[in-house]
Amino acid sequence: MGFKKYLARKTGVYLITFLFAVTLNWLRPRLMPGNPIEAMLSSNLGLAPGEKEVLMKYYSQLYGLDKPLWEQFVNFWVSLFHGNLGYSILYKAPVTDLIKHALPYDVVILLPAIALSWLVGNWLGAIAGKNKRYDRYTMPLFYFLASMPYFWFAMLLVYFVGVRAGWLPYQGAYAPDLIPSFSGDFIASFLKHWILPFLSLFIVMIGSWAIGMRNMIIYELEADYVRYLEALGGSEKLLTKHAYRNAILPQVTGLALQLGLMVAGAIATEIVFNYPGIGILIMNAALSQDYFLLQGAFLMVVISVLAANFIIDLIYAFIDPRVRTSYTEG
Amino acid sequence: MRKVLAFGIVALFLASLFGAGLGMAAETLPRNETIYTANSAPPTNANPFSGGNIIGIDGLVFEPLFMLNFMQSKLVPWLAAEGKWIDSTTYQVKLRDGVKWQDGKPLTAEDVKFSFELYQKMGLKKYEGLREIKVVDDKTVQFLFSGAPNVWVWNQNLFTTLIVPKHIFENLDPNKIKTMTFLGDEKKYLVGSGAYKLKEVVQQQKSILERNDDWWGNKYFKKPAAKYIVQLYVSSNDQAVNMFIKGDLDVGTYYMDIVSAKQKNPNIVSWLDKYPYFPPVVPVVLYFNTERPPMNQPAFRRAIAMAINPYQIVNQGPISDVPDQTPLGAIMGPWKDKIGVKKLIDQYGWKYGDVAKANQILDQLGLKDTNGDGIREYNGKDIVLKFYTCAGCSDWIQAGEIIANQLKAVGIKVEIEKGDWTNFFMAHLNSGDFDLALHWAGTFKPDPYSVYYALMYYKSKDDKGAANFGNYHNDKANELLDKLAHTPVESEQINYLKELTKIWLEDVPAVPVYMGTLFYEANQAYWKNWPNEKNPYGVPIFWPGFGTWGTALALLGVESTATPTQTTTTTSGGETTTTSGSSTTTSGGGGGICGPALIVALAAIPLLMRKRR
Repeated sequence: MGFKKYLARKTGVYLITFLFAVTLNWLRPRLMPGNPIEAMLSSNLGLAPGEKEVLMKYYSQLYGLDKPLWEQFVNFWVSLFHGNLGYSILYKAPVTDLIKHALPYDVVILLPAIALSWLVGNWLGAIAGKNKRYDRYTMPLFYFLASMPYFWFAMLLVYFVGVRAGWLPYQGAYAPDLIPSFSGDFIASFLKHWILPFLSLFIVMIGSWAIGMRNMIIYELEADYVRYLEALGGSEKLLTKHAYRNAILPQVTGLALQLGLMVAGAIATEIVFNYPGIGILIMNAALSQDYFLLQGAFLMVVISVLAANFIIDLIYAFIDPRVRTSYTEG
Repeated sequence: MRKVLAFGIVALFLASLFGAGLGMAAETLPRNETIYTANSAPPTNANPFSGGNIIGIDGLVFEPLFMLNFMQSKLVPWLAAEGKWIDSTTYQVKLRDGVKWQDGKPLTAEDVKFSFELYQKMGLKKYEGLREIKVVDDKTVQFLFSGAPNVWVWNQNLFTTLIVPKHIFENLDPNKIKTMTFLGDEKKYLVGSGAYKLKEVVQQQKSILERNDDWWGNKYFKKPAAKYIVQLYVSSNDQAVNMFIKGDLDVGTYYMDIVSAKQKNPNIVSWLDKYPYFPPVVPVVLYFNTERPPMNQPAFRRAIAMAINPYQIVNQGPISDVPDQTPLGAIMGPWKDKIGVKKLIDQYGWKYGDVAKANQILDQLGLKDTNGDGIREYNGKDIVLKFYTCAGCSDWIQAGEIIANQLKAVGIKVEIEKGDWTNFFMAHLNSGDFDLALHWAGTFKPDPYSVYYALMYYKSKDDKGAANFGNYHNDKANELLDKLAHTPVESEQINYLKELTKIWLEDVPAVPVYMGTLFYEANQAYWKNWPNEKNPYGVPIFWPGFGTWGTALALLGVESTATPTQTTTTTSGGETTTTSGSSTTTSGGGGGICGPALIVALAAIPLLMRKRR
């Protein structure tokens, strides 16, 4: 039926986008000037005379960088379909391993921060859109929050809450003398260390969601269908309900993109709180031209952004009847 | 619908939270039995061959025949009782009695032969000229060379080749070893001979070494004091400073303002007990592009050397010390005494900060300022030298600015160009596209031969010293270096080194401008007897890959402070924090409940708010 066609078309588009994006991600680091092996060895102080040439050969062979570019490209796809993302030049470990161990820390910070700030921000924004007096007081605050850089707010939290007041730990994901385990001590320590990085993202994110929602609500409340409903004598609750359902649509798209980008990590937060995560990995990989880690990390980003968009496309068909009809009839 | 969504998110979050911790053992390490160190890169690999990033895999877990004590430029017999050239092409090693693997099996000459051959098979080392490795008996190995080999390179192989157990590694494919991380399931192959075993690596966060109480070395050296050595991942200097002040780190190599750190925590020590505190190791040298006129004239380079005043650089610039005129660092003291460096400097050297003499030489060279703009001309064009550096190298930029000022006084203009390390700075240096630059890659070497080779050797573009960025070329120096390379006789070595030092002082291929320091800091609250100037038994480099350069010696030499000290430290904000010696997990008991309560509260907000509407 229509929905099946819709699904097939979408899948096709996503597949082509995926191939394109992954190819670009493979190519781009290799177009950067310089040679990562050369860079790695030129900052290695402890080499004996003549050792550099031996190691250049060793590492070029190890990473397959001595082969022509087209062969590297073929090898990349072949190993990708074997589930092998390669071996990091910088960290000397399988890329899948690196991502596997770094990503959970980002997810536990970013997922609740994004989701909760979305809920709270939309709710606050909706109130601001309806209530002029409330709007006057809260909007400057929202703008302030939205324009605040993450790292700056994080540093304020570190300084005031962590260093000056000493209420909460501000460094690492848990106390340095602990080993991760499923024990009360560890979980307590983990949660204590989690609060500040979480807040630094959550509070800043509220601002932009609220601004978006407020503007949409104001726009929708002015729309003809609301006016008509009002003229028919609909209650304020009913008006808001309809306006809200329409206003939330762009916000859902925004949420999907944010969730999709989650796998890229939160670089600023990770650096300020010395929190383990994938953001720092990607940054260091870019700085030292670690082709394989960059490829792998961007592959994750591509997959998750596409997946998030795909899911949103499907959800849209449910939450927005206009989309549904346009596809089932068109 | 929305409630379900909110609950779902909270549930998902909690699940992911607890899921992260599954499958690992619960344990707290006792603070006064643990040395905490840190590195700016995360631990991800324990491979003893291709440069893992865990401090101590080389030296503490796996051991070499000899350790290097980099701070004294000398080899310390380790697994080997002795090693010597029995003729010009045969090097013989005798192993110590009682050396054994951590699984109890004896370590024999067969293991030594196997290890050297494995490095070769993997393509990691070439051992130029090595013809055969002969096992004479269980304790004796002979390395047979075809022709006299480069003895200095061979000495470096003695401490950079780790000895691995044949009975374990012969079952592994050398090609596969290259990409093994030796973590997880592969950890079982990490059977070394050393004083520590790898206990655990929390990927990308920390590694934990645990003492091997049955170490063969207990008999020869003292038993290591620390039960655990933990390497944390601390990426920024600021974080490291805070942790040192709080007492969470015991030793590390991080740049910090050590004067103010010592005020906040008097337990922090470094190499020297007075300014600059940090160990001055080797000089940072100012390179000339010796292919470009007028820098191709030794007299011009000498004039610049005279115009430079290192005292001013040390006073106003980076934390450092004043160098002498040779590229041989403070670590080569014994060598320098034997060479008679002081006398050679008096005889052939120059005087730093001698502007009058510098001006005189430049005038004699005919480089005069004819148009009165304060800048001398060469062939009618102003002498403008481009000083290349990397944008993040603040100490080099600082020094460069001071040098630019000092050269202005003799009528030479210096322009500073900055960029990123790899693709700008090193690319310009490697391609010889620069006028002036600072670097210490040529001086940070374990022996004087390697220093002079790195800085002065040049046969062709592809066959030159790795740090001869200025393409300095002198046939006499090449000849001396070739001879020096192949003689194990010390008196001959000293003679060649004398000649090379003389050429250096006369020709000035580059000018030492200040002593580069290592940013070493140690905390005496839990551990004492850290290596220092008066007791240089170990090396203060706490980076991975330097274990056999003497980091292992340092970590094996520390002693426990019997009664942990209670220190009260005042930080800049004026508030007082007390660090207790027994444990670091004693902070705020209420916090444990605070965290979950806050999450529940945060999760509840949107749900509660919704009801009111």
